[in-house]
Amino acid sequence: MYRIISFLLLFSATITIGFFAYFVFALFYSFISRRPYELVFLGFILDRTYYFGEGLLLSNILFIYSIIIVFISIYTEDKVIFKKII
Amino acid sequence: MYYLKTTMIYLQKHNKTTFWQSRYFKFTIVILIILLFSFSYKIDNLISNTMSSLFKPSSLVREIFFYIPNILKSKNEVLKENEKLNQEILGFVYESYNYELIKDENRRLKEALDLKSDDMFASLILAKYPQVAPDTLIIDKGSRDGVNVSDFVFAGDRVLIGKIIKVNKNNSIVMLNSFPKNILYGFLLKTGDSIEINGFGGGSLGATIPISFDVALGDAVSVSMPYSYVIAIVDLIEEDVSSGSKKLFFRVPVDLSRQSVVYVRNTGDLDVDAGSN
Repeated sequence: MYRIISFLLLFSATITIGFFAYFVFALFYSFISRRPYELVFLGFILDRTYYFGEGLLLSNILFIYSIIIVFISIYTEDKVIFKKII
Repeated sequence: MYYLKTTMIYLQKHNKTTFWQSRYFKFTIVILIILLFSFSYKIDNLISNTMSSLFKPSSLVREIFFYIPNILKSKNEVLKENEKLNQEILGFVYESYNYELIKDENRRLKEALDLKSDDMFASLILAKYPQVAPDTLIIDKGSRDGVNVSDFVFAGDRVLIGKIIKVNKNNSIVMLNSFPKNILYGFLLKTGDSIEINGFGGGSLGATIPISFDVALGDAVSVSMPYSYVIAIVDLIEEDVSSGSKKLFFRVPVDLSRQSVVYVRNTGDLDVDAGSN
């Protein structure tokens, strides 16, 4: 339930504030939650909404960004406890 | 002691997971499922339609949020602003009379020349920067209303601001002229010299021309297709004598942050030679 609410909050905050907010919020969300797979879905949805340009990188920029931070989050979950750091 | 050590090693070995059981495998599966979805046109349409209905309330929330400082203004400030706005309204009323006269004259001239009448249709702006990417807009007309990719988008009657880059069922994405790497071919209204304008992003446009070109600040650049439409106004000129060229920087003739309606015109009816690329 907590994950669904956080996902919806992240989604609505990005839509209301602007696409750039996603970069910050997604990073913060990956710190506080364990294995945030939902970010990848969100990145995919937002890429279909915004237009950043042609090409694989520009047309999927938020999706790729999400994959990178989720991968880092999964990789570091045994090594760093971000909840404690924050 | 020896017995304890062997037991611990034994347990550690059992806790190790293979790649197929690991979190990386699950993550790969999630990405693959999403990639599978990305090939579906229906999913794409569903997302865009849902998002277009979400942009309206989110714009409202933004407006309310940014209106809060206005509520906190003092009474004197409000009175001053009211006086200023009244004067502005009076000015607009006079301008609208002039506009109606010019519009009527334009219509009669078009009839006399046997030219096609404008078939533009109005569209509301659903979202603009910073809600969406810089140099783009989302409008509330889509393929259902007859919008096609590459249709021209205007602000007012004569200002060309961009073109449609992506069409969904209920909405479309507009790429503004200032979009990075966007190239426009136009000509200076004053002299008729042709000019190539490049979009730099962030609402700015620029061009490099020979130093001999007769350009002044405030000169308009237009495209012809078949009527002449203004795309930019010269805002800054930098002369580089060593290379024998001038760098021009332009501004868009309208303030898009205040614009809430744009006009779309189908390119199918136009003979486009000198439009955007």
